[in-house]
Amino acid sequence: MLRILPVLACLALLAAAACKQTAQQVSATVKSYAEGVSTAGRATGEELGLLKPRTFDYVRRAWNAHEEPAALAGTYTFEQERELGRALAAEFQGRLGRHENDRLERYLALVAAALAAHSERPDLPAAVSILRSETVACYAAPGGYVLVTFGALRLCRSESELAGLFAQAIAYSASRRALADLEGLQAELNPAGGGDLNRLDANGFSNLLEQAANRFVARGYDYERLAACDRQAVDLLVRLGYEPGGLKAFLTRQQVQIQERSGGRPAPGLDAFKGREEATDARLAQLAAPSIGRNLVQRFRQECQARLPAPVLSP
Amino acid sequence: MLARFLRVSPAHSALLLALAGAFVWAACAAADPALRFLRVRAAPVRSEPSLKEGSARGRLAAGQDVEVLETKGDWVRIKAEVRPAPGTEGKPETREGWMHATQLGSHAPAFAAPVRPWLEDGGRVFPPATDVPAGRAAAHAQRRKLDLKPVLQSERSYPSAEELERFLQDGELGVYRPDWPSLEVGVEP
Repeated sequence: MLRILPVLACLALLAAAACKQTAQQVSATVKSYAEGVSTAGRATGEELGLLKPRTFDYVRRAWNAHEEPAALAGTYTFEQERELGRALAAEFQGRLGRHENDRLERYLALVAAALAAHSERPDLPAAVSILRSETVACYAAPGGYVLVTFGALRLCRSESELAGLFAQAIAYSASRRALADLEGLQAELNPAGGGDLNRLDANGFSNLLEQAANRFVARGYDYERLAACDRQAVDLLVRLGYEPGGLKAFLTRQQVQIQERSGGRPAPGLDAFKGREEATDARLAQLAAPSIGRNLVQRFRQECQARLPAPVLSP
Repeated sequence: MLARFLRVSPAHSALLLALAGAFVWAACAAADPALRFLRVRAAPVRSEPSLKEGSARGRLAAGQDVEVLETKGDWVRIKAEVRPAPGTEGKPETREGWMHATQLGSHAPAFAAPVRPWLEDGGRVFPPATDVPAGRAAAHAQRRKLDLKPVLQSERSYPSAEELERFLQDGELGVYRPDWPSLEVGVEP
């Protein structure tokens, strides 16, 4: 039997050599295996600090970082997802007020649409609204709705930072974590009924979205979920060629602002301030990325900063 | 001769040959790089493997399957059969030309909507937004005395594929980045 094995190998090689196209494909397979081994070796070297990541590898990694948002994929249709998002967006706008400025909204919509078009769900039609609030926040709702406050727009210094903020919101919505959060809240509100949002009657639907908006406005999003979106957000920035450090720069500035305003004490309304600060530190540490992208400071100044109304100072 | 060398019957040697052939075929089929999917919202099919030379020969929408005919640097020559949207009349249309390797992936993107009218014809149509809202969101807004119109207005700000392309071009983003590192023959290992 052992004599047969080398003969089989020889026959396989002969058959491969007989057909040019087949030979090319075998060559491509061998090349891809060799590249795989090389990539693994390089990744190990980078982890050990012996090698510096190549820009090319970083870009390729960003494109290949798939996340399967399959857990809830078959549960809700796009229209059901969109209806939940519409209702939640209306709740946010009802609480914080909407700022109307066609040209500013157009610019923000282009940034969000560019990110959505390169996300895991490129068919997601992103819709952006501006909220009249000086709180630094960017809310996301199922179905691609992004709601950003004056405060967040004022804190951004470049288009890459704005894109980082939006990329996180798009990742949260596109990966269906936004739906998972609503399901979790529904299970809390009605433990006996479970978290299926399709089974809600009209009153249950309204109650859930009111409670969700209350929670997100008062307490923000769950930090663990946001941290999970961070990596996807950075990958989105890299795919488009934005500076991947944009999100980190924004979050760092936000953390400094919170610390300055609170004078080192827990900020009013943020009971778990210390925990959040530590969580933000941990998130920032994970967001280290090589400086390889575009910041687009000038375009951001012209299209966004110049169009923001002056802040109304509270007495 | 083979049968004599292996000391097996001619029937067995024929079986061995067939097995060897099947092995080679399976190895090649597994590595078949011919089928790819559009992984971005929409992208033009170009007449030349360049953004500056040649012209656009129509546009493909996310998820479209394409057959890879040839690769040249970061560009891939493809052939695609664009089928009409479900429920609409029309014949499939064949498009052939060049696309940037970063726009194609080996997996079809995960979609939530079987019919996506805002992506038809390569993303030229806006998502449907109506002045007369219906459905659960409208009932919720009525019950809570919320105005749904601003949300519907924000849906209208979703740009067309051409607007988005101009935006990327203006900012030298995506495939328009001139200093983007060469991706050799694609982004997948």
